[in-house]
Amino acid sequence: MSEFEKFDEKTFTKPHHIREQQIIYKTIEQVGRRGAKEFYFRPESGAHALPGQVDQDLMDANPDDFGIRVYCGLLREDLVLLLNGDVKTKLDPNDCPNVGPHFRLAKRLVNALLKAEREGFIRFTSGGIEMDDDYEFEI
Amino acid sequence: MTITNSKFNMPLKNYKRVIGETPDEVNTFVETSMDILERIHELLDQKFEGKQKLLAEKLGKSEAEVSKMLNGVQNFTVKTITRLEWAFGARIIAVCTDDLMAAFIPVKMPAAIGFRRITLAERGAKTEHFEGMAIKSTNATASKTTYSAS
Repeated sequence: MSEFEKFDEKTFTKPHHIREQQIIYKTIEQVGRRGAKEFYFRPESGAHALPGQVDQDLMDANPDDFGIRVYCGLLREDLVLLLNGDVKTKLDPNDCPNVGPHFRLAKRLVNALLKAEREGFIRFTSGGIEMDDDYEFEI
Repeated sequence: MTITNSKFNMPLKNYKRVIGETPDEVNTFVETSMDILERIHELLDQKFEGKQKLLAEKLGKSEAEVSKMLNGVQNFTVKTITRLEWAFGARIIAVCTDDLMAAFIPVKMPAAIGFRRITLAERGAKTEHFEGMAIKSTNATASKTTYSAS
């Protein structure tokens, strides 16, 4: 199961989370049509996340609820790596038990992929990531 | 070897359901917000060489504050939009009207975005309503079906 499939399996019950999930999925659908422009996303230490913005009123009203985050890797305008996410409960994602592991994986994976592409070991195409059959990299 | 994992071949359990259950209001919010972002970045490129720092200087705000205004689907306020329009010296959004005597720049609602209601009435007469106008035509086959699309 992919990381994004794991996110998709999650059920959110609070009304504002349901709305956030709708906004995230609708944004993903639109990115598929418009291209993955960086300004649709929130930068997250080399990786990115959706939604690109969280309602300030919502954060003010819920001190332990910073809304849902789905982590992504913007590899090209036509190639996005969708990863896992959850409800963020701390300002610093590293401190959040929900999103911390997803944030750290996204950061490591995306930075490793970008480095491997810069060094010519892998290639990003509109169809996916191309690499030699025996190529391995650590994250 | 190619690794692909596009939305088209992922067996997502909830994606289609969530998209299907998303209210029109949320869909329009996301699309409009993304349209505004596209226009803002078009103007940022044209007027400030794509540099947020230069825009921040013009607005007298920090780069972090300006970054918030320029990134991510969000609830843009009229205040934010007008402030950016002032900095760019160009319009970002316009208000639609059919009143040619309106005291502001009239912008016709584009057909692609306008609300259309089509009624397939008895005897196969089809009526289309668009921007308050009704266009009648024949050759419709279904009876008494009403649906709407935007």
